[in-house]
Formats: sequence, structure tokens, C-alpha cells
Amino acid sequence: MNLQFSYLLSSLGAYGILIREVYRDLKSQGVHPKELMKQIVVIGVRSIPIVLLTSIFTGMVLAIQTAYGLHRFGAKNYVGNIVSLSLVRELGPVLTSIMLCGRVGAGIAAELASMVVTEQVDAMRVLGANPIRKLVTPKVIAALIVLPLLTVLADLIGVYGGLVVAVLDLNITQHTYYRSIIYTIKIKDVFDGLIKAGFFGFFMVTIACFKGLNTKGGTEGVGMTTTEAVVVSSIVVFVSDFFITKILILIG
Amino acid sequence: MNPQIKFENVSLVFGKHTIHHKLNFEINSAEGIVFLGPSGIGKTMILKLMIGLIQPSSGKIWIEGEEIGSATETIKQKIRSQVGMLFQGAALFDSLTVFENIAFSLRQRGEKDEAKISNIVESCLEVIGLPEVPLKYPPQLSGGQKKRVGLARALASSPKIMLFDEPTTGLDPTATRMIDELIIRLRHEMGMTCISVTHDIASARRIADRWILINANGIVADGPVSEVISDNQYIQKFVSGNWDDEMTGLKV
Repeated sequence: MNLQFSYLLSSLGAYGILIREVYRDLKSQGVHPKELMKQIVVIGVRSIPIVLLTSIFTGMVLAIQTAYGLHRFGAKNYVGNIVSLSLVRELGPVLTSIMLCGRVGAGIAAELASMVVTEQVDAMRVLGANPIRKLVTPKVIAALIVLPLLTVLADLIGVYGGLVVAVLDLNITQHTYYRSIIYTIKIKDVFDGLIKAGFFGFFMVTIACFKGLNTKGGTEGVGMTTTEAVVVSSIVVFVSDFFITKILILIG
Repeated sequence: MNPQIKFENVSLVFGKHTIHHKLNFEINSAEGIVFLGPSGIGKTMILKLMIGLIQPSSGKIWIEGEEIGSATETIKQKIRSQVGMLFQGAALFDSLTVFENIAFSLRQRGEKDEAKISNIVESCLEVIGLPEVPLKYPPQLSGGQKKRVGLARALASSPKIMLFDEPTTGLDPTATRMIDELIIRLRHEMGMTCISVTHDIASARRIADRWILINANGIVADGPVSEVISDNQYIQKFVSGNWDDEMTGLKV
């Protein structure tokens, strides 16, 4: 127990050092535009299909479930309010981040872990490069840019999915659905969701990079690192979601 | 004459496990050294200590008069610009072509003149006898070719010291001889200090004029090859394959 606690503490310390290195690197060198664009494509553009697919079905199922519950109170017309608010404030950022933890986080962790076990990271240092600058900073910045944008996309498509179900299955008019959204969603709701997405993207990428760069062992280590990166970053997304939401609501 | 490399009471400890205890040796310019010892004894660690990839737990390491153990990253980079390393698996960057791999250190160290970079890469490829591969990617190369490209990459920044980690492991006899001859040429024609870690005794005889044998207690043989072969019982047992736990030092 004592050993596990000291391992947790030393891991947290090492994670903190990684973040400090990224900050220092960003402050002193900025980020290479070409590498940043590459990461935006890898993390963002290539994630669009999976985000669209999950968000449209989430919106649809949310509409069905909400209508099922509200029907008992004769409040079926409020489906649009609940679907949009749930998606924009909560499900959009969380589901997008969880999907990216699996798709992107796993990829980053596996890539860096492979580079560590094949000594490519050591080679980079020997050849005069800073691995943090080359491998971590562009990914962190790309995630900070891309996650909020993907969340906007997820929000829009999710709300559209809800609309499809509302109109075709629940006999709610398009006008009623849109009006309920406009009356419900405030700019702050959208911003809160985007702020959360930014945090989640930061946690996802930094945890994946940290796990990848601290891989031990051979190919077995790569597999373990990848699994750990996905599990830890997903848990951190859920836990931090609670605290960030609480803070955002307190700030008002 | 000051030694080019000096280890003074260098110890390396990971957790409760002592890898090296008070290593002391000096290496002069243009020497050909091979470190011998049983698997897992930490020979590669000695190379990584020399290039500042790991920090000694205690003691001091001087490379070209600069103390690398406690040096800042800037000083380490300055020292590393004079040291090249061929990693065990070559550690080529899979996403870069052979040309880009070799040009990597030049670009990292601020070289902007593309014509000059191109000339250096071509001459390095000539030295290793692979002028036809610049546009290939590492996965398209054989094991021997990867090692030679790794060597070309290390040579690109014209180091004074070359470190070789198991340079001939996994290679066929022709490729082994080719690598050995390259190492000999580097010493005799370019005056580089060549330090190798290997289990290949035939290769060790060809490329070195001094052997250092280590076991768990430290250095147990250090001297000219012909001398240690005839006088040192550890070397004799190691070369003849009669090495046992007591020789490793684990029981001492």
C-alpha cells in the first residue's frame, strides 16, 4: 500500500514535470506550424467520422429516452430543451473526449511507447533534438485547438440526430424542436462545454504522452502502456468533468 | 595528455538494485575499446552514461573535459555534438526517409544550407557503401542496412567519439565484417575513438585494441587485448564460455 502510494506520488510528480517542460518549450520556442498542422489532421480531421457517428446516435437515443420519460407528464414537447442542453453542456464534450481517448490517446501512447522501446527517443536526444518539443508539444496544442472544434461538431450533429427522431418518431414539429433549443441554450452553456473539451483534450494527450514516454519493457510494455493510457485518461475525463462542471457553475 | 573520457567512482543504482559500483577508467583519443561482460550486467548503461542519457547515482564522468553527469541540457547537447551513437536496433525514425534520418542531426544543430546537408548525407552514404537508399524508409531496409544507415546518421555530425551498442548482433557474417571494417576505418582513417559493447568475441578482437570486462562488482579486466587474453582468468573464462555465477560476481 505504501509502495503504491509512493508510486502514485512519483508518477504525479513526473507528470507535473512533463507539463512544465511543455510549458517551458512553448514559451521559449513556440510550436512548429508544420508539425502542428500534421497533428491537427491526425487528432482532429481523422476523428471527424467517429465523432459524427457517435454524436448523431447519442442525440437520437437521447431524444427517444427523454420522450419516453417526459411522455408520462405530458411534456413531450420539451425533448428539444433536454437533448440540446445535455449535449451542449455534458455529452458533447465528454463523449467526444472519450472517443478520442480510445482513438487518439491509444495511438499516441502506442507510438511513443514503440519509440521508447526501440530507443528512438534516446536517439533523438543524442542527435540534438528535444523529444518533448518534437513529440509532445505539437500534440498538446493540436488537442487544445481540435477538441473544442470537434465538440461543436458533435453538439450540432447530436442535436440534429435528436431532431430526426423528434420529427419522424415523436411527432414533434421541426419548429417546436428548434424553438425549444433557442429558448434553452445560452452562449455560456456552449462556452462551458468548450472549456471542458479543452481540459479533456489536454488531459488526454498529456496522459497518453506521459504513459508512452515512460514505457518499460519490450512489446509487452507497449501493450500495457496503451491500455493504461486509455483507462487512465478516460477516468481522468470523468473525474475532472465533475470538478470542472462544479467550478463553471460556481463561477456562473 | 588528458583522457578524452574519464569515469571516476561512477555508481549507478536503480531503486534497491545496484547496476554499477564505483567504476573507474580512462579512455584516450582514437582508442578502440570493447566492453565485455555477461548479458544484463549493464554494459549498454555505460554507453548511455557517457552520452548523458542517464545520470550516475554518484561519481563523475568527463567527456572532452566537460563533466556530463550533472551538466545542464545545453551543456549535454554541446557534448553530444561530439559523440555519435549506433544503437542496438539502429533506432532509425520509421516515419523519415534514410536521407531525412541522416540529415536529422544536422538540421537539429542549426544547419540551414540544403546543398551542404545533401553533400554530407551523400558522403555518409558513400562511407557506409549504401549510396542507393536515400529515398527508402527504414522498414524497407534489411537489418544490416539499418545498422549501416544508423552509423551514417551518427557520422553526419562528424563526432570525435563513436559509441556502438552491439553493432553486429543479428547480422550475417558478411554484414558483420562490413560493420567491423567500417569501425576500423573510423579509427584509423578518421581518428575517432570507438567504444563498443558486444558479445561477439571475433568482432571484439578485430575492432579493439583494449578490452574492459565488467561483472557485478565492477571492472575485473582492463588492458590490451593480447595481454588480458593471456593473463586474466576472467577474460579467459569469458572467451572460452566457462563463465559462471561466481565470475559474474552475484555471489560475492
